[in-house]
Amino acid sequence: MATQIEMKKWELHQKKLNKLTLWGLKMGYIALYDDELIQKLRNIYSGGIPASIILLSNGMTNGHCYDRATLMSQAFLDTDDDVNLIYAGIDSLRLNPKYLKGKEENPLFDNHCIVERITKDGRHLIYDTSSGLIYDKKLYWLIEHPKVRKINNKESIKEFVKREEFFYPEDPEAGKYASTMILPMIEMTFGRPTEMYSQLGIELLQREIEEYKKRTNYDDVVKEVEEDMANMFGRRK
Amino acid sequence: MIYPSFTLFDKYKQMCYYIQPIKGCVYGYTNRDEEMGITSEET
Repeated sequence: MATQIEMKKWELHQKKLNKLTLWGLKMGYIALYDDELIQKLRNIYSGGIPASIILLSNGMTNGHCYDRATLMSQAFLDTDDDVNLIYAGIDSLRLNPKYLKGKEENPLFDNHCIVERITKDGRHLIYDTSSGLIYDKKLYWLIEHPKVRKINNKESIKEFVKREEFFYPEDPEAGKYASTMILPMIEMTFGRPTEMYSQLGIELLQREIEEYKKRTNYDDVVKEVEEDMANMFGRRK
Repeated sequence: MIYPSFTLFDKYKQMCYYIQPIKGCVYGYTNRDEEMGITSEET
């Protein structure tokens, strides 16, 4: 049970978060994922699903920051930009009464993972896959006061990704069969207040799912799966 | 234009409404911590 002071700190943090986010959006220090990024993510897969779908879905992303930040960082590995995976304790977790109970058991209870991208023209950007936004680094630091515990640089990310690909190779051709189970689950979340990228007026998640379906002849895949299921359970018409 | 229908989202307050609080990432991911070389000693 959080104390009154802890509750007050959390309230203040939320107020600050809302005000700075609003200001950042107005001033252009916070942005949504852009088309160039989303197009790159279309060719990066995780569990058979393109990152362009996974990272636009709050349900598939928020709460899985280590995996999703690694996924996001892959979009910049073949560029001249510098990229780091930053592991840090942040205020949004450190002050959240929901997680305070884990404080005693786990010193990393407030740990979060974000992507830092330093562009060639010297901009320091933070990609937080849990909130689905791109921040100016200074503003992110002001909002979250990250206590950095570890930084993995571009080389170590490359190495990690290479190792993952060796042990768990991605096969989009085989993965498309998994999509017949996963995409309907994502589609059920369209328009929910938690899903920023599928809101009316943005609908980027819908666009990405449509694009993927066209690219993989999704309807034919569904038919194939249904036929297999019918054969397996002896319900051939 | 980057966002085809972004004009509908001109009211940033509306957008803030959809931004979700960051969820804890520790529980169930301790193995990944170790894989990525993070230990509590580094805190």
